[in-house]
Amino acid sequence: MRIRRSNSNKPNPQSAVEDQIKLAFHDSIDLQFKKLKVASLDITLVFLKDISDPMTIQKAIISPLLSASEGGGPVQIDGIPELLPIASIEEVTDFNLITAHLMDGFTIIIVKHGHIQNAYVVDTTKFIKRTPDEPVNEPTISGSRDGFIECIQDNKALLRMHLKSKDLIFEKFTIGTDVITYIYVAYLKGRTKETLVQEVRDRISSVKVDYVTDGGILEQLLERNKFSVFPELTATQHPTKVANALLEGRVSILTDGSPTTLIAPTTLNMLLQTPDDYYFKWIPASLIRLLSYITALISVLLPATYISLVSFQHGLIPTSLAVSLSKTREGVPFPSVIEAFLMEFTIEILREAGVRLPKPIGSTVSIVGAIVIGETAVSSGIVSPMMVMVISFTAICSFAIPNYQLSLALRTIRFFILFSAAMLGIYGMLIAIFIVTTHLVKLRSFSTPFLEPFAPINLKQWKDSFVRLYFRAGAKEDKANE
Amino acid sequence: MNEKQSSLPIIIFLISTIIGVGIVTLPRQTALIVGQPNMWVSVIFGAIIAFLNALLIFMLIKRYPKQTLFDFAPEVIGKWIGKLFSLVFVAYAISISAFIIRTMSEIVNYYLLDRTPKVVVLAVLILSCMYLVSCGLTNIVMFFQLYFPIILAMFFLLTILSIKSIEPTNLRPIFVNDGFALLKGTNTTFFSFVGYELIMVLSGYQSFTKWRSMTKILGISLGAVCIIYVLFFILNIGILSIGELKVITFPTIEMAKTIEYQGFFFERFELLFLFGWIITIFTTLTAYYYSALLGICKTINCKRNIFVNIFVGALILSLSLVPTGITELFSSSTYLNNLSYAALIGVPFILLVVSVTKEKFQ
Repeated sequence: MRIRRSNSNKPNPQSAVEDQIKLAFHDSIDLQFKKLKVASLDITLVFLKDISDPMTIQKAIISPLLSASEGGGPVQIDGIPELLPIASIEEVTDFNLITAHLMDGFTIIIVKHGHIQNAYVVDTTKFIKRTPDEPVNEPTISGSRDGFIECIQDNKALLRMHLKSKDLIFEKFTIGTDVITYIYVAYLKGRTKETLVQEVRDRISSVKVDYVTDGGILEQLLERNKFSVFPELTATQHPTKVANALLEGRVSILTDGSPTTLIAPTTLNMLLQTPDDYYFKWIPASLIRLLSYITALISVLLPATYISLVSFQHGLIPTSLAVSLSKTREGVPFPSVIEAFLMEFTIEILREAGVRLPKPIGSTVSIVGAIVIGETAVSSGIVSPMMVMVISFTAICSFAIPNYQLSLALRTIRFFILFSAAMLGIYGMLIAIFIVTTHLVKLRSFSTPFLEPFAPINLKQWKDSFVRLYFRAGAKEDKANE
Repeated sequence: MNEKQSSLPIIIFLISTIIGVGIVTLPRQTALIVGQPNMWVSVIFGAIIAFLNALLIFMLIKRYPKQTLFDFAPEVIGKWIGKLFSLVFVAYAISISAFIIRTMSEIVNYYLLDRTPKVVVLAVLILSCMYLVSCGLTNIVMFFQLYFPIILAMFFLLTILSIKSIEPTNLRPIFVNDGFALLKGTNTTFFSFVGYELIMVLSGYQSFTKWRSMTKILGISLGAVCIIYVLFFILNIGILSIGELKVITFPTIEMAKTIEYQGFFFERFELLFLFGWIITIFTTLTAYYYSALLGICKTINCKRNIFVNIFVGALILSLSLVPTGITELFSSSTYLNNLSYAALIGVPFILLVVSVTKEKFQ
């Protein structure tokens, strides 16, 4: 950690503000000064060239000022803001605010008349940004296709667009001592518990770091369970998801420069839902919901169950299946535990390789991995075909989990349970499940139990948990007061 | 987080605590004593006695709202005798924990892991329980709520599946009223309802002052357990017959073993039963473990910490390893029963009497 720079840049009326700015930006080449003389006033415009729009500066600042000068009338020092055809112009006195605004692409207007000097900031931002397109890792079937981008203004605009409510409130925070990052906290007044909002504010204020570059980093800084694999905040790039969460009385946290928006508090139930669940009729949607719970369970338990059945409790497998199983395991040199770890390891490597490589090559890798390695591993007798099936089915189940954070967490848990099953069979598996559930029960996300409608039991909320019951037209839902 | 004082978590806590070893061993013990097909009537008698005893305990804790047994016992009867009473209760909680997990380890060794040393089986269970207990009562209550639907579903499924194999002849004659034997059986069945006495510990978590809500809580929990026990008694008798019940060590598991559905993926269902049953053992162990831990901490005036936790765990583990075999284990239950009488009836009764007389004289 670097020591915070002492705050020596206080505005000194003796030395010119321009010199201070120059000093603060170390004479960087993109820092531009433009001097004008309007009536008896000396005016200097300061801006950073590449992130400010020259056309706006030209049209909205320079030409009105020059025409006022040509008019010949006297111009008062406080009269400058009225001359400019711009919606937002404000006076600043804090030097730190001046530098901060400069970095946002604002133009600083310094007006001098004798010893009096005033500084105004004008929004002339021109950022490079992409258009909001569908988030790659959260595809939906029929939901809205816009996604958050790197520009926080546009992200706020997206939220406003999806939630036309006057209760939607944004609060601004700045974190980072060396590099500043803007954080916006959004919530719906009246639906969100004030204690929750306060907890979010407190946690954000307690973050003391040099810089934060991404929402994913902020997520880890805001978490309180350092040794948990489960996420305490949901990261999403979907405005609709955020809008729904806000309607449920949650708080969302937007980070400047990152398309990842965080939702707090997070529950397991929430991580297993997709916006699509709400867009289709409730019976099929409930079945899909149920399916995602089952796939989550399978992806955690299947390899462990298989191992404990094969290496400890053969007696529990139906006889005909046991016979065919032992036939396929003929000639496999390793015990099935080693076999399972070997295959799991391979699958994890393939998956990581698929993520890292560019898309066209990525698919090649999965073909090579799935067909060539799987097929040849079986035919050369290193692993049994049943094991390949179990492990790849598990992998597919973990792909079906709607949330990547959760699927990452469950992957870790799977190894723990697999290890316990390898040691003590079904009994060890059960003990491992006890330990994991104890951890889950203990887990709180912003004071909300992570397993919310299941523990503590809240039967009213079960209608939107592993099933999603029908909507009732005309019934006013009172979610915040629950 | 407990502003609403809802009674559902307490009911769940009690049911999860009460159901334990009894469901596996009770049919055999009762069959040995009663030995007639309508021995399930003893279970109902046992439940009634348990309910009356629970009301006695409630009359005591009602006088000291938001306090556990360990808090008010020294207050009522003097510091040292009160601490002695607390220790009796702690000893009871520890021995009952040791007894149930030892029984469980016998079953695990018999049906699941025949070559794993008992100490390993017991130690991993105690370690995982230690973790849960260290999380505090709020989380324990939540844990029980999470598993409660699973336990119920397991019992329900097992009942549905085994109804087919009941042989009605085994259940006859239905009403041969040998009242004396039934009452003698009550002595045994009563002990499968222990667990309700933990309201003396729960009373520090939620204050119980209203007769109405408390009788509701106790009635529902003991009633539900009673229904499950009677159901399993009838299934056991109907499927295995009294004669077999007397000689099989773990009749309920054998009963689950008899369920066979050809062509279904699982041909055998004792795994299903064992899965759910180990969960109930774990919940029972947790409840008693926590009570013992809390009792020790309150008696020696310290905060709950990891050292006391390890101490209690080690105590339970070493005590559970004392019996050398299953016969000795079952014979040790006589001592346990005497200790239970002291902790369940003796301690609350004396405290109640002293408390009432003190009030009269003031």
